[in-house]
Amino acid sequence: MKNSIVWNNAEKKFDLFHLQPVTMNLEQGSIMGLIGENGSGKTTLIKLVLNLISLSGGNIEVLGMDSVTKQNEIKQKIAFVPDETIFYEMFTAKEVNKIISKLYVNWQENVFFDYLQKFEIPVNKNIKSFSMGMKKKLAIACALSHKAELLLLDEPMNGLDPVARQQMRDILQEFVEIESHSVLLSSHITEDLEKIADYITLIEKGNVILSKNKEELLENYGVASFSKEDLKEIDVKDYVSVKQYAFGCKVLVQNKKMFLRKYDGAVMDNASLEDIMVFYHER
Amino acid sequence: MIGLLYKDVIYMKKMWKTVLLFSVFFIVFSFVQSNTISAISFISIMIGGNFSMLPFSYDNYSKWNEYQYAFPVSKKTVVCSRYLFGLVLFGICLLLNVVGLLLVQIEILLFTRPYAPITIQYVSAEILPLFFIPIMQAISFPLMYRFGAEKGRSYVICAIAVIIAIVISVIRIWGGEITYSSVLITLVGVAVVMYVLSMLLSICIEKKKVQ
Repeated sequence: MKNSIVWNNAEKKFDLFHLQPVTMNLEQGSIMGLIGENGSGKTTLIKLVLNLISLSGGNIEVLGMDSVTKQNEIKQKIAFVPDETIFYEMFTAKEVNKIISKLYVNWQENVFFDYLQKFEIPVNKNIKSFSMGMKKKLAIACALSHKAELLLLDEPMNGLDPVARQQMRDILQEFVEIESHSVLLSSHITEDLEKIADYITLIEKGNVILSKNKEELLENYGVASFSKEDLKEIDVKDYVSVKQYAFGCKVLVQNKKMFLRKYDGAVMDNASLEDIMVFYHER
Repeated sequence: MIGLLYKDVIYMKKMWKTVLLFSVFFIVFSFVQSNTISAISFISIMIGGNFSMLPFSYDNYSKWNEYQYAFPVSKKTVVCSRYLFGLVLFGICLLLNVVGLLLVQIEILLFTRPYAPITIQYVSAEILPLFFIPIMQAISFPLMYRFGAEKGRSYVICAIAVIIAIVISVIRIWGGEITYSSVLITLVGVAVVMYVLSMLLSICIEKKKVQ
């Protein structure tokens, strides 16, 4: 299996933040979801791929090319959707087409206008009058109209209603049906990632805590419930972290089958991505 | 580069109502006052000099600055397209002046007697000031790239004031005869040299920006 992105000890140091060296990869034909609290380093990780910020160490390969020396070739083949609109609000979708069409070699005007029609985006209205969802859809239409092989999306579901989120998920799944395509997206809405992501990467305070196959993750991780007294008997090495409540406590475990073998009779629930994210934060 | 140029041109087109209103007021005012087009030269310098700085502010406001390099454009291309936009504005202003000059001549020919033929001095006096547009852009663009739209604007005002003071002082100290041809050569030469140097400096500034 070929990789779309390979991070080799890629790191970034700011004055007040350090994205620790990251070594992982995104396989072609897959969707990787980045989760983590605000300021954990998700956007930094995406910006490094785009070379919007310079690496402090290591390197990143995108579509088999070095992200720094081959950035122009790479950017013709990838698309980025930031979490905010970057087009002048006084522009119309038609004018956006005029601008972007001159930036990409493989721009497909008919595809762009087809998406606008599908998303019900008015062609001649100012972006200023668009809802958050419409702005996001316009950005997605731009991203899908130049034969990109890799999509990088920063909080694409933010501000979208359930119908629009479903539409977005369908688009992304349709996109990765082509074997050479892949998607890297960050999202706070873990529910969406549970539905579409193939891999999940959890970032916490600049550290990549885990990067695993989603199915494996959801199959292995669990949340066990105990009374406060029973917790004393549990070895701290057997769980990630604990959350105390008024009448008991819950722990996140990495391997629920092993845990149940060791602690017979424990009440175990499946862990959601949100549970995993929250428990790792509590650590 | 064409895409980026389009962006700035479309932006200016959107601002066109404001520019037009501004221009019409001064044109009508100048016709009523003295049948000269000095006001047109003045408006042109204002439009060409100041309006070329507006996309910097809007790039900043819309966060285009932050994400423009997600598109397949190099830093050199981004800077060059902005300078090209500056030249487009200069060209439009030049055209506006030539048209204005012709309109005034037609008006004189039809309604004012006796008709005085156009002289080189007259044309030079109306057209030459326009070369302050690329000079203003050459001063302002690197400052905008270096300090950003808001701070840069303050530095531009200071820089232009200092340069005007220097030029006036040099002319006074020199005391020799100033001919139209010497002014023409000096102004055009200075504008060209400053524009090229300014563009190189801006590319350098943009490339060195810490990310």
